[in-house]
Amino acid sequence: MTKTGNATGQDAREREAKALGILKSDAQQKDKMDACKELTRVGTAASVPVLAPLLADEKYSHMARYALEMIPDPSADAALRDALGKVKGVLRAGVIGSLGVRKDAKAVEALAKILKDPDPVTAEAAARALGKIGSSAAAKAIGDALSGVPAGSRLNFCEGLLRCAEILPKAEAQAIYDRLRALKDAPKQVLTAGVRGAILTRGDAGVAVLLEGLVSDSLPVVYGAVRAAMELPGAAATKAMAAGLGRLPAEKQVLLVQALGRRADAAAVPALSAVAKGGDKAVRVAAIRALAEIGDASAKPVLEGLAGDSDGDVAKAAKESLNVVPHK
Amino acid sequence: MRFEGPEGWVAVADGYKTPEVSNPALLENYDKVIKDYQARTGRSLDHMRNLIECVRSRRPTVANPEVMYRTMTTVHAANICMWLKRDMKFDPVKAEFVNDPEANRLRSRAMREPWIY
Repeated sequence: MTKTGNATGQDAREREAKALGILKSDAQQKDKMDACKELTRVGTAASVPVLAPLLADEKYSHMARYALEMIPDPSADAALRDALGKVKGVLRAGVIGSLGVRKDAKAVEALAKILKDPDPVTAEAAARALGKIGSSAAAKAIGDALSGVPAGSRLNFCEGLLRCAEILPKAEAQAIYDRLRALKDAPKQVLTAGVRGAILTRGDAGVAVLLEGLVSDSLPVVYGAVRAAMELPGAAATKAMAAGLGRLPAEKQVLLVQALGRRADAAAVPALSAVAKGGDKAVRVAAIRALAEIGDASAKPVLEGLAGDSDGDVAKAAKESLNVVPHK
Repeated sequence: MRFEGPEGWVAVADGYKTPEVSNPALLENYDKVIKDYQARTGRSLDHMRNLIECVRSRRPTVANPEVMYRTMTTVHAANICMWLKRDMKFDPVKAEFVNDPEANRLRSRAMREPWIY
């Protein structure tokens, strides 16, 4: 493929005019759908008045959104907002979704009202769309509605809040994560995401929350802590985690040791070397594997010593790790 | 998927025991590379085994969402290139085509209502 170019200028305007001509005619449904697809690529503000009425048409609503979602003009947002009061049922849910895709901040007020819609499909679509918009106002709207949400819709509202937290500044995101991890009867994945976010948004100070999470009896909390242990950046965090190893029971030590290996930060080598030398066998083997994953030459003397260990599994793991740890 | 470079090409896909290559010399260190990779990562080369191991360890699978996002982005970018019948530059950080608004408008499409993802 060597042809270069782009649909701009005269060619694009001609293509748009042709597609609009088809939509205004009595052409077959397939041809009109193809015209909407073409407008996805070349549609401008000139297409909006033709596409907007189609949003209420069961046959063409989806294809009209195909084009409207991509038209780089605020009149497309206005047409979608206007349709909120005109279309019903799943078509309305689709329009709500498109406002989310376009991150239309002007739609927040209308979407906030829809969060209380008696139709769960519609209310859940609004929560997800507000999440994609991701502004402080959007997060507040979902947060205010959360306590009154039926159990069946709660996950979608939490998803909206989590999406907001991914976009918002750290302080606001941290407040959302803390609320979600404290939420009574939270869906498991929400609890995991809340704990992970609460740790990551705190930076080095998140290690305390991380260690607290690792000793929890709640598996979703443990999973969130382990995931954050892999992602929290910086040598200071690595050292703080390594220092906390001794406070954990053996089965949780294995998880943190594996996470330290995944971080590939040489700051963990002294602590992992100490753990590898004695204690619970599963922890020792995990530490030896983690040293290999970090791949720092400073681990070589320890691994050489462990290659002659009286425990065959420990010695085997050490020999295999030695193959991949470079010389100094 | 086929990778072409200055020394020849390598092709891999699900179900391949070893890659196909333009020159057998490209596989000279294959066994060592695989052995070292497994020792360094503790990972199996079998996706199902890797999944079970990761359920236990909480570590990401080899084909985790981030890896697959990068993989499928490449495929979709190539597909859009094919549709538009022209060469394009893709910025993987911004996940957008460079100076090509028409191509960028093909990166996503409206979900059929009330599709959830």
